[in-house]
Amino acid sequence: MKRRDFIKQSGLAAAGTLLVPSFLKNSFFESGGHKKLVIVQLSGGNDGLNTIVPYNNQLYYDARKQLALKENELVKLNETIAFNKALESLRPVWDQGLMTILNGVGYPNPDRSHFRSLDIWHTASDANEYLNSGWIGRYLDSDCPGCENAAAAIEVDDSLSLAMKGNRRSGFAVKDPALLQRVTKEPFFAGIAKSYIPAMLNEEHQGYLYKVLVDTASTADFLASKTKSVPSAGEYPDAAFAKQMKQVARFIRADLPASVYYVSLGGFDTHSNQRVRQDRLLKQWADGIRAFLRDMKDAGKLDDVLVMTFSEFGRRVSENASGGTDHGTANNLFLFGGGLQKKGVYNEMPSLQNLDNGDLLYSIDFKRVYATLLEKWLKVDHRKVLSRDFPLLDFV
Amino acid sequence: MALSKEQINTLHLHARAGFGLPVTQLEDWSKMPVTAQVDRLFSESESFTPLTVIKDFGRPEKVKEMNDAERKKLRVQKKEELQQVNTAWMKKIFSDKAQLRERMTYFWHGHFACRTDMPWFAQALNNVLRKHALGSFKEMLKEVAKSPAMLQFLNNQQNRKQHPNENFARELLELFTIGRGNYSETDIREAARAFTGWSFDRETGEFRIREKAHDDDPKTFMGVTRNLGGEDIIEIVLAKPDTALFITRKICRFLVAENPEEKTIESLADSFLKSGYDIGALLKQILKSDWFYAETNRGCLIKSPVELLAGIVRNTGLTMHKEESLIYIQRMLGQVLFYPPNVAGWPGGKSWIDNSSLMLRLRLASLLMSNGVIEAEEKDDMPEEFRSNEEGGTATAGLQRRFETQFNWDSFIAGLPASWKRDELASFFLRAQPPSNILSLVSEVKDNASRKNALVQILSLPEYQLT
Repeated sequence: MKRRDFIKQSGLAAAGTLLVPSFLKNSFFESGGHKKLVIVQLSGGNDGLNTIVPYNNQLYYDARKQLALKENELVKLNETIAFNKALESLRPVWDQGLMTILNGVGYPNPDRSHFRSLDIWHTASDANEYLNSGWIGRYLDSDCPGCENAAAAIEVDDSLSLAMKGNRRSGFAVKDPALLQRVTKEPFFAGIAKSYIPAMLNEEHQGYLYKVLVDTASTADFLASKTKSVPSAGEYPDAAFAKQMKQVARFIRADLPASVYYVSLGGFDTHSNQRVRQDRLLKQWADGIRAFLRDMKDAGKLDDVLVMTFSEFGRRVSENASGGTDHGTANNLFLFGGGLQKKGVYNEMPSLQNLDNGDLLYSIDFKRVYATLLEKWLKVDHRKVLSRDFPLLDFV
Repeated sequence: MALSKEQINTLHLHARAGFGLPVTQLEDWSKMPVTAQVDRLFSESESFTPLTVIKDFGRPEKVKEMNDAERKKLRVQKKEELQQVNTAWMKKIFSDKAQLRERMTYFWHGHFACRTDMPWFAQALNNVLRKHALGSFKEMLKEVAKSPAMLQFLNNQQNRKQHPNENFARELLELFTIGRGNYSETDIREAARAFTGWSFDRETGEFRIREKAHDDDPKTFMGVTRNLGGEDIIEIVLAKPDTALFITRKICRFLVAENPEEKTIESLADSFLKSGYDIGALLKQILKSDWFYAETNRGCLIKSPVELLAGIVRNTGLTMHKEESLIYIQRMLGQVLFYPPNVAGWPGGKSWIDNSSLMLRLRLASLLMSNGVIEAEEKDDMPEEFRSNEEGGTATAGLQRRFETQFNWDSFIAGLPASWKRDELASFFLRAQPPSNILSLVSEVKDNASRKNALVQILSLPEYQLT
């Protein structure tokens, strides 16, 4: 049915997005209203207390005689909190109102195993639930506008995270599209992709291999042709994480139909020797984020981009006996972008006194963050993705 | 003439119980019934040699006294040695006669997933796994729990009476023995207390219990209350049928199929428990069963990167002498020995395959056989030891690498029966058969040139990714 006819026949269209057929939604977003979500995962369990430091709280120093940051290692933001100095490149980001910190983000009955907690964050399950699909994968499954595209969600990496795997659809993992395209165009593979008939394969893994081959070839073509002549602007540090953010920026500048990007930075599991390792990684993260935001501003896209940074759990309040911290629970979560409604500190830091067996108590369920991003930023019904109704937050 | 049923069964057995059978050995093995072949696999694994590439235990103590130049030298040396342990094992996997033992060492390596930056520790742990790979799971578990590599990786030498560190106890229960849902958080805390003081001598790497750090007060673990030590925890956990189930299920998924019937696993686990955790006995039961040779269990597993690479080497006779190449390929394929993504090991199966990894894997054999070039970037989360670029960890974009392989077409072809045409070659190299319209894209074999084409194409088919 053509657009004109639909409008004529429907009379007064209802306001809810659920009643708007996909072709209308597509054209709405075509006009530049398409928001991008960039998810940054800090793998290993980043120690939030040494990231955003409650420097005026004596309990912090009591619990961390070795690990507590000293005065000259802090960048004070206000009366209560300071950045770890490793984050100093984010200072201008903070000052310009492009950053929001959510405190005490976690979930009930927290799991302190990497494997499990990461699964929980990736699948948005309850602590006692085991889901095999990721929340972004299910976002793709929910028939969001543009999500029938094979590259509607892109992970800048060599392999795909569980978060990006849905029941019907999955995201696309690629570090360099031109490289990938060259590879799929080899004659023998092009021949297989053309000759393949799904019905002739009856074994599950065999069928899977062929399907991936065919999808890869067509998607690689598409991505390479769209990003061929897109530069990125500004200086990016010479580190792997920054390179990934740079690639995300190129994809965004190329106006791809992708609405979600996923990037990981690992190494945060600091059971020992935390100061050296965490500080180094935090700097990489901060520098990369800063360069990316500058790039997006230059492209005039800062208001359409939202970066969310999370880690699968925080760490214990007290240090352990080897200059590190053990797995904990609630943590801070960071948002960056030009479209933030509530900037700076979103909510109170968790108490350092009222703990759960040495761990911080959560006050915001991370699934509410997901629900808010799905509903208010990506404009889909979060219940279709998360299977439950969550009260939304108002950071955006 | 098509391959016989016996030959196909033989190839299936050696693909699962080893790393693939070179064509030159096909005749010799396939004239025996598969049950006899299993016995022969065991006897050929009876004697074995440990990895010995690292001669010295590098002493970590003196590091504190070093200046920057000395430290850098030590870092470089450690990095080289870690690469040496890795490549020494890869080469063993490629060519060692005790294939079944190497295969199971590889399995246990993924099960007792561990990362260490001390080459001596890595080698020692690998040798513990090799020693017990076909023997007693109980003895292996005890030695693994006392190995410096594992104690360090799971921070146990920092597990002290005053400040318990639960990492070791948690992973022991969750991943190495009984699995999730079969213990409580309290069990973990109590187990951690039992393991306090478990450490290793910094001078020699030998296991010792630090008496002052050990908590010898009573503990309650899984219903047992007394002054429990680490070995007691292990005994208690092994007495639980759920532990036998957990290990058996994992072995079945590794050797047979992704979703074996629960009944089958339970029955095998029961025997495993009653045998006192005799790994060899369990393996024999599996590898001699009708179930193992069932049609639906053939070609139904996706090869891991190491299996893919080893299969190519063993199938084609190519060699790779340059250590850096071996490391590089592992990195690009997403699996580096001695460097699992985390303590849960490599998830395996479909997770090896996605849009970017598949293209590399499909082309791998052809690239290696032509000493070709791969343009791709390195993943970020490798430790410095396994990166081969310069100090400072600078990222290099669009890096081109040559593999420095030695491959001889003539000797490869000479090993193949001259009468074998396209169908026979496909049956030999592929454990799952492609649909006829796909196989028809492969060259017919009429002469040497077309035979070469056919071989490369067969090794480039999606079916070659399956085992």
